[in-house]
Amino acid sequence: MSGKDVLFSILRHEEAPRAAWVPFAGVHAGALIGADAEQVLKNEDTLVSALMEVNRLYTPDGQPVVFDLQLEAEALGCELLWAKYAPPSIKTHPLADTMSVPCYCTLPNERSGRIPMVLSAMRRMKEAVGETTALYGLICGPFTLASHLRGNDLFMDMYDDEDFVAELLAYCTACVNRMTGYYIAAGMDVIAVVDPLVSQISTAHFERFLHEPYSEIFTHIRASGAFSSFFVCGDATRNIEAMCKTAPDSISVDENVELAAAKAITDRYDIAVGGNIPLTSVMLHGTQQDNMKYVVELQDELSSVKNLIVAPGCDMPYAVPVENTIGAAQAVLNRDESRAIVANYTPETFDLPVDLPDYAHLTKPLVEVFTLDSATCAACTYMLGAATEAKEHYGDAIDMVEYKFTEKENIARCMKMGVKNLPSIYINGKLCFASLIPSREELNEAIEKAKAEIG
Amino acid sequence: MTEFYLITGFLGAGKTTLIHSLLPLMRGRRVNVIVNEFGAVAPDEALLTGLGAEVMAVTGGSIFCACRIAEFEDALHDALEQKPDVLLVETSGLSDPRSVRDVTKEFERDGRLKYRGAICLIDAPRFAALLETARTIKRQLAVADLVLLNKCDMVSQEFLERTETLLTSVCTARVIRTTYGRIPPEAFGALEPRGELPDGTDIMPDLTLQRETVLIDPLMTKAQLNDFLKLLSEDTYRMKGILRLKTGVHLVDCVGTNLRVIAYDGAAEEENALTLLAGAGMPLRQSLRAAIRRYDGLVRRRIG
Repeated sequence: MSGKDVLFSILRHEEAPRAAWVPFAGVHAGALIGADAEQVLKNEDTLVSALMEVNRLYTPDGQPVVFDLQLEAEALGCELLWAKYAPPSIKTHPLADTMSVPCYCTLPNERSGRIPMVLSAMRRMKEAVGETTALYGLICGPFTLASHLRGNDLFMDMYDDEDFVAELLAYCTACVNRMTGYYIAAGMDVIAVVDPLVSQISTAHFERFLHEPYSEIFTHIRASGAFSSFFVCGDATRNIEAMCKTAPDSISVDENVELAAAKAITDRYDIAVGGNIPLTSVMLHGTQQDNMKYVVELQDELSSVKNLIVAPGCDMPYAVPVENTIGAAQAVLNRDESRAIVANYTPETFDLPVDLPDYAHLTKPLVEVFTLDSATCAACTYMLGAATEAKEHYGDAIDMVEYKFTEKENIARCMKMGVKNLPSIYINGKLCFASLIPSREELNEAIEKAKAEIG
Repeated sequence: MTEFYLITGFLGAGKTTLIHSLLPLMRGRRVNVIVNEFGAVAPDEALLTGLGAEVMAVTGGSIFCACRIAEFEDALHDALEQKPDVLLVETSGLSDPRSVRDVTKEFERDGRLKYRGAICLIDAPRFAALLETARTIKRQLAVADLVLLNKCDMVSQEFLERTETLLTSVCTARVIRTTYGRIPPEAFGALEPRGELPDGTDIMPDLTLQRETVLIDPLMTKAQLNDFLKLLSEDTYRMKGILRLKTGVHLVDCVGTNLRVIAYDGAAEEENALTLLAGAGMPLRQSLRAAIRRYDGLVRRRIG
């Protein structure tokens, strides 16, 4: 049974000999051949070489071709800010000042932006490894794409003009359906619709705005002959059941979601679940044994490997040590041996000395934004965006700081503060917004309250 | 072989007026006109009928958009079937015409059509302001073989000099100053296509173009309509329609804050639809919502 067959069994909800293994190596693929993020996301030959190395080193059952949630937005006119060791981020939002639903003839086509390069790389990968490895085509989900086009105001629009949000989401859904067609034609076996911002809205908003688009998307993918994945990052716990009701073949979650609890829900709907190796504390900063131990325990906690895909919680950080991913792979492919190897291993802790601010004696409100990394996690980008807007509004009257979980001392800070969800906003040391991006009014109100408390 | 002329220019620049002034120059020749409207109805088609030319319309989007290009090709095919001497194509003011030669190529190849060039109308009073926000203008200028700087009588000499300097800084075609869309006969006769588009032209779609259609109850009075238009004039480039009101049929043809509602000797469309067009940074959606609230029951927004 090839790795691809194992993954297909899982996605068909059949009994399988083991869990499936899908390392989400996006820009990290470049690290394997010494190429930076920009090279791997812009140059077809570099991308294909990097993906072949992922395939060789990590023996995946399934692997993505490109992990770049900005691809469609770029083709629609968003300017990008490129980074050397992370996917690009959105610099400009074309609809930031214009509440407009674009004409559908503006949707990207096979010649737009970097799409031709991606399609060609997909065809080459299909030819090279498609017999034994399932290939994932990753598409930016409609809600995140709408945020890319409109910016942070989308979160206000959800209260002020529901019809506009619904119409804009319909446009973005049409974009997803079009990209699905291109990717399946280029040989993709699984279409993963990646929508990190789904974790940042309430279940009521999910049901109001996203149930219908997602049901349409997954019906379309199924009718087109591919498997589907509903891919979220952040604490999507509250929305897992609502996501199941849109009927994808699988759901992918990150470390913010307790996998066993999520699987209890997805099992009720007979949907596969994928996740959720912590990207930074385990994959980036841990050791090979940490990764092995984490993945062994992750599987052992669950009653069955049926409907289980082991994967990093999201796009792997660029600099994840190769041996860590290999350790994780081993723990899926040779679970019993790996369990024996790490039986007596004690993981390293992040017990670094960190000084917390003297919250009781602040002279002005302190807004602290805890993120996975605002440069790579879309939910974090928009959470930081909300705080940045507040900082621009209040100027020197408040202080604002971002702590990225990619740095060891920030992991220690999160532990000391008791931060449970990323992204979160704390004001004056108190948790105000966890995995729910506040509207401008909500954040300003919280800051005003903090100001009043300082006196 | 049919001579093909493309008439472009932003909303309200005077394209229909130019055609009015062009037709007498072609007396004795058989002329067909294809009018393209971004809106659902084509008031310009009505304005051009009865002038001796065969007029047809392609509505509901730009003829160069993926959603309307097949319809444009059909219209082109139908027009050429009639073997006219001249075919004038008036684009919508929001059209990006850079793919025009891709469309005409097939007809040029089989010898049915000769592409004579693109004339772009520029509205002198509004050009500087529009250039800031309306990306389409640069794209229309990119394909222009001749630019008519129109409405020169509506600005001071100094303003005109500044506008022309700005215009020539973003466009390399010949520029002629004019009023009322008039074109010197020798300039029209000498029109020649300038060749391929320069490399590096912006190919990004413009997501900020806004089109709304509202349906007007025939019980509305002209005074109410005027007030309704006034509420929206700051936030639109153009409002157009032929409407049946209590006081008879009226042509609505507004460019920005310049409101024009005149009695019209013809029939209104069944739906009594008014098309509103706007662009980047214009809060059309919000102002329309407020205006509809004020005229609740007399105006409704058409969805889709």
